[in-house]
Amino acid sequence: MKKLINKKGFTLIEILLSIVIIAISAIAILMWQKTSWSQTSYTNRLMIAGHVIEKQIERQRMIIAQDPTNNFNQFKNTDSMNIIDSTTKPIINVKWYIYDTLHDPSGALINNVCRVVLKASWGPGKKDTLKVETCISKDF
Amino acid sequence: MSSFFFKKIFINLSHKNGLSLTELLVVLAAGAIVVLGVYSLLSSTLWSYNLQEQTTDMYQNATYTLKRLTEVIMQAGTNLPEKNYDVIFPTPGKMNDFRIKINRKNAKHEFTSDISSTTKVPVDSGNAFNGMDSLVKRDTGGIVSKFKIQNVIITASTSIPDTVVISSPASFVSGDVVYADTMDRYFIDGKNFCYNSSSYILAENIDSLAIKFYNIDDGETNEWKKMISASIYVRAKTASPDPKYKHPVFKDGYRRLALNIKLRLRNKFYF
Repeated sequence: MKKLINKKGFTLIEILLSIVIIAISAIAILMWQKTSWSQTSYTNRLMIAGHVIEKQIERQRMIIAQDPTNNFNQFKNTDSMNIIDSTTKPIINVKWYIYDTLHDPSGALINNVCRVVLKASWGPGKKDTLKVETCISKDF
Repeated sequence: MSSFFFKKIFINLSHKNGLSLTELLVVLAAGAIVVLGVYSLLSSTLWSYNLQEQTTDMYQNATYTLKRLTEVIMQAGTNLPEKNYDVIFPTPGKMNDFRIKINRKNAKHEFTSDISSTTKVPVDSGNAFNGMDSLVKRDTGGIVSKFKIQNVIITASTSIPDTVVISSPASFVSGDVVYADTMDRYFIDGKNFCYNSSSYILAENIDSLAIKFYNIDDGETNEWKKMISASIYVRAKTASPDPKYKHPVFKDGYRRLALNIKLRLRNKFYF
């Protein structure tokens, strides 16, 4: 006991300072871990978002392929939302917009081809997004 | 500041009275707490690293399996006869096993003159036929016949055509077309997605795989001539169970990812 109250020992400030330094180091490691985990999750979600968009494009192709005459008429100026693919709960939302059929530089209609914009969003507040703009053709 | 700090330690260490029992116990307790904290932190870091690695592997295995199958099935029938020739052969009763004929190197030759019964078939590019199993002949009437390829002779000269040696003689007339095909197999062996044999693993830890083929009315079919679309369902899981996790459906420690797609067969048309 005599030694513990020895004036030559560590002061309270020194001990507190040591604890603070150790705590900061531990927090830094934990933060790094958290960042690393978030980055991995983001990459994985991005991979899935790409798949979901691809799936939507293929789905549209399937529908269009079964429509012999309308030339995308039923999709013109429409927008839709879908929630697809998950292990146990929905994770990624996809919105797609199918615009009017395309025209060539001379203004002539290009049959059976449409411009499509697809946007996948995920994460908190659906702030992470992946946008793809492409053309879908009835025949390929 | 630092010299003062070390000086104090030195004084303490050289103290003739040594440490008291209480001091020793306090130091041991403090040391134990620090060691436990460090161990806990390291353990948590290791767990997190393993989990990230396994999860990433699972995502990659699932997406790769789906991508590979999608491309293979989409392209079914490319550079092969359109009629009187089957391309996809699902294994009855098994949705995770099918065979597909492919013309891997785009081997094709159209005859411009007649050739009577021969086992040595002249072609423009022997390289494309090299390594393939069968020579597929489509005559001008659309009738398909097959011959086993025994050898391919590739000549260095441009004036002498390459030759495909087949097992039995065949005759060709102007307008006939020959292709080459080989049979590939994709299947699940235990928990791995394999190509041709169990030793050729394309993706590990595939928990479930279901490939279905559909006709024009969206009914399931195993007949190539009726196939118009296909669906692929892939479920991958982590390599080892996580003791801190319990899957809500399977009630085990494996994390899982399920993906699916329905696609058009590119060489088949609805109308």
